[in-house]
Amino acid sequence: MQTEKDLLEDCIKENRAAQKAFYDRYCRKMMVVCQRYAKSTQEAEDILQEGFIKVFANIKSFRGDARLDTWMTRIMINTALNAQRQKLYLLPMVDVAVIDLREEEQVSLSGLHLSELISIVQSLPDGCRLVFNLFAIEGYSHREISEMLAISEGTSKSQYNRAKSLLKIKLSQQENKYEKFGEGKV
Amino acid sequence: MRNSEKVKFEDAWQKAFENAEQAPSENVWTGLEQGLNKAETVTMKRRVVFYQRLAAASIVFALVLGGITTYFISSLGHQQEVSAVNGNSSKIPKSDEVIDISDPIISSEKSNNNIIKR
Repeated sequence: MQTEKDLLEDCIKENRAAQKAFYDRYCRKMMVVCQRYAKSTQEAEDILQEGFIKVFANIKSFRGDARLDTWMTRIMINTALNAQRQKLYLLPMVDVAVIDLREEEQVSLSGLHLSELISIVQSLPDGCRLVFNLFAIEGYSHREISEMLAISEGTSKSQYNRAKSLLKIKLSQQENKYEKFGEGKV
Repeated sequence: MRNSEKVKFEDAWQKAFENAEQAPSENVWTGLEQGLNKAETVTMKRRVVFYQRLAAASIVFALVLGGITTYFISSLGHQQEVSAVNGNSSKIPKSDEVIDISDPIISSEKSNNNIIKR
């Protein structure tokens, strides 16, 4: 098995076999990133494909300052945001004062399969899904999100609050489903 | 749902997706490979256009350089011709040059003068 450095050098030389090996090594992890931002698996695969073309086109510029998968995740996120940018004008503007972000709310996801989690995230409306991913999973601040999506900070906060409420409803529905069918969590 | 399993909302989601993997369909690599081939073709075309332009520029440069060289060589030849002509005219004797006494007329004049003095 080639080391990451050797694989990178061969990819810079546009060696197709190395590019395939590189893709095989990282595609599954990047697929989950794309699934989180997309509305469907088909859309996620389109983002993944376009994202990898950008990765190979810009692989020379990877300096090793960040981890390779972190660098690739950023490319996937930017590709996903560009693909969905036209939907962002649909985000409603909400007054910041009416937003109640309860930071200390707790939740358990340990009993859910990855496919269920992805399905729950994909069920969120477009704006909510983007803001939820960027804030909760990627760890960006609302100010950074407002700049990335060209929306107000208040809109980012309100969209996140809405995402949180919707996710709680989905999780409790999932829990009820398990209880109804008498299935214990794995 | 046990309370002990519960963690902060954001941490729970981060942890759930941390190192998560899911295989995409085979179609993604097929499409990606086609995209890479297309990108390579575009790069190759750009390279061909670049080298064509470079070749054209080299020919123009060579022609200009050849023209300039020819011009200088021809003008140098002309200068040499002019200087050669000037070189012949300088062979006309000047007034202060030594007169050849072996000339019979001059030597007879000189001997006549000597006779008079005596």
